Amino acid sequence: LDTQESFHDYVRARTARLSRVAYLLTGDHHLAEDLVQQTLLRVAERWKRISGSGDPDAYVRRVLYTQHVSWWRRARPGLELRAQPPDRPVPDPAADILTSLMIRRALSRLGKRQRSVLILRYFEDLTEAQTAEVLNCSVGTVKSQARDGLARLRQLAPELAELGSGPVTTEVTS
Amino acid sequence: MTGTDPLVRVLRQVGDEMPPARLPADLWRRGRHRRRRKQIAALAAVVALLALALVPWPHGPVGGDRPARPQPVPVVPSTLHQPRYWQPTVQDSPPGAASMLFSGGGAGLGGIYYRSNVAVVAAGGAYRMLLGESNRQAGSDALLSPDGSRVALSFSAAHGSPLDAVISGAAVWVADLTTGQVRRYPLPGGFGRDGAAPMGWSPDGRSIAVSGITIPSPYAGDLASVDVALVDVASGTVRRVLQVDDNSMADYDEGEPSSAAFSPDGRRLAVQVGDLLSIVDTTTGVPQYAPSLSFRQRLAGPGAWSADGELLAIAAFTGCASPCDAAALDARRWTLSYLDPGSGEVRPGPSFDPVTAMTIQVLGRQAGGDAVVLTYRCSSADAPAYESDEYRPRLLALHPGGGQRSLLVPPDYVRRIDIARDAVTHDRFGGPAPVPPVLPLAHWVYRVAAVLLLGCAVLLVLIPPLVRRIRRTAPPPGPAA
Repeated sequence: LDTQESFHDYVRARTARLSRVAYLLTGDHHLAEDLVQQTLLRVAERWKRISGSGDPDAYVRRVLYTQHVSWWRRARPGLELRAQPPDRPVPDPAADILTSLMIRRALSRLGKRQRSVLILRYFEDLTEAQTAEVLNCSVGTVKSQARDGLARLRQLAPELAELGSGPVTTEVTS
Repeated sequence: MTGTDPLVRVLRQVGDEMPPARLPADLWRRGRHRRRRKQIAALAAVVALLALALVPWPHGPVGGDRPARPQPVPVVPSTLHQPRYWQPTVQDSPPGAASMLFSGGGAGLGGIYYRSNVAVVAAGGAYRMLLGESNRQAGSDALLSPDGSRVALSFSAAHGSPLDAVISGAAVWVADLTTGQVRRYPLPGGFGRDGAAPMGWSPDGRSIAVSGITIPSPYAGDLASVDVALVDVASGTVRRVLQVDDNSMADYDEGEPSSAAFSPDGRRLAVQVGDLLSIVDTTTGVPQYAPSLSFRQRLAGPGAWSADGELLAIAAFTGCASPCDAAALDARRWTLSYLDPGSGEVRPGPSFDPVTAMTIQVLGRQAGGDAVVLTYRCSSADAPAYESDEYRPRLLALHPGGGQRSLLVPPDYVRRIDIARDAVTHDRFGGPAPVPPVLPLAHWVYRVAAVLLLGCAVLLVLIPPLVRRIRRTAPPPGPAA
């Protein structure tokens, strides 16, 4: 029962964050919801072991991204990040709205792998090594995917020359 | 990370548009159920694979009884093909009555380790295999019954090795092509100390003439001898009918086809051992006549008797007797003469053109008087004669008074053939000869696949935790130089 309680506690604490990442990955509310559900179902299957590892987030994140790029999801249509501004009013000035629009449109045209790398690096604020761990690839692959993804975004939106130029988290050394 | 990067800012904006996902109230229960289902499925898969790999396959079809009505013997195909390496065995998929057997070299027939398999040709030209453990040949180690429904096998052709004969005694086996079942017929103690092999089927298919060979031992000081017994297929009783001491066994050509012929009524059996031709009464075992043959003469084959049982054909050759190279063996000219089986006197009989070949066997006579003759040569149209132990069979119909027609010219990799007696007498030749299809597969293929799958499944289960453990124990990367 304690295990079940700890799972529910975890779900309550993390669902909002997981949902945001899932939406960034899928670009669709329903697909994002489905992705979160499938991820948490898988997590429930092995929660005892996952919770015992001390860092459930790493495993859950990995399940989420793996589910997203898994072969059976590739066949599903409609994985487009919406290229429309949100219905909800935002306080940005007109220039920011235009930038936002262009980035959304460009993001929707990236491959799943590149999009995942950019979300992990620029939204989840992970290091290259942590990103590589989540995506089960090498750090070199993360670097090249991030570089190519940003180049693709700049190519799709030439006005965003400064895109990705801000400082990002580098290696965590201990 | 800085919030000033437009990418970071937009990603946060987009993410904020997503409300927390709605989750089912029983998420935990569903997850646990799914885990249990996966565990059960994995366990079932492992059990199924183990069962597939380890449980012996049933021999013969479900309810594998012989059909109430005997099936007509199929037609001998117009040509032969190399069986697939994975061709099913008779036990895997009983083919029903067969028209012929053949053996030889190549992937399907020779297999690996120089093993020679015997192919069974059933209706429509379908192939099944009789697997052996060593060099077994159609026509000598595997003999098709007259109606093509069963195959008599020498001991090593059926299952084992000569060691089996020492341990469990000499025996012959009969494979039922209709049910796929193989039955062992033990031979009496002392019969065929060094092996036993079928010599021929009685015309009614009820008994098999079996020879048991004893090779002289330098320690025992005994003589070489050949025992001949009749095995009743239904009851399994064995009746010894002849024993011949033979000092000429050292001269035996290993590949010489068995030399025995039942009279059409099945009451007499002619057997050639060395240069002695014995004719015995199969009901009493009393020898009727035992003429000596010259070294150029042979009992003509399983079809040596005339239809009325009054004449026994003897094949004689001119040309090289011994030692001969391949070309000289192929240049032998064979003619048929006839004996009165009661007195041994020479009698007039049908005249056929001489046949040029290394050796010949008369398989039987057809209604029109044609003699169906199996010839063996060292060479073929496509392969010159190199070795004198190459056997290239060809099937001919010799017309009385002269002339012949070709019935079957197998490919060069076919070395021995055996034809069902009914196919010979009813002139059932020139049938369809389809290339063996890829399917069905022999059962051993499924076993190998199951073992491989099981191995892959085990690796898939073992490797991911192993990789995780290695990663956990690996030292963290050092600072970049």
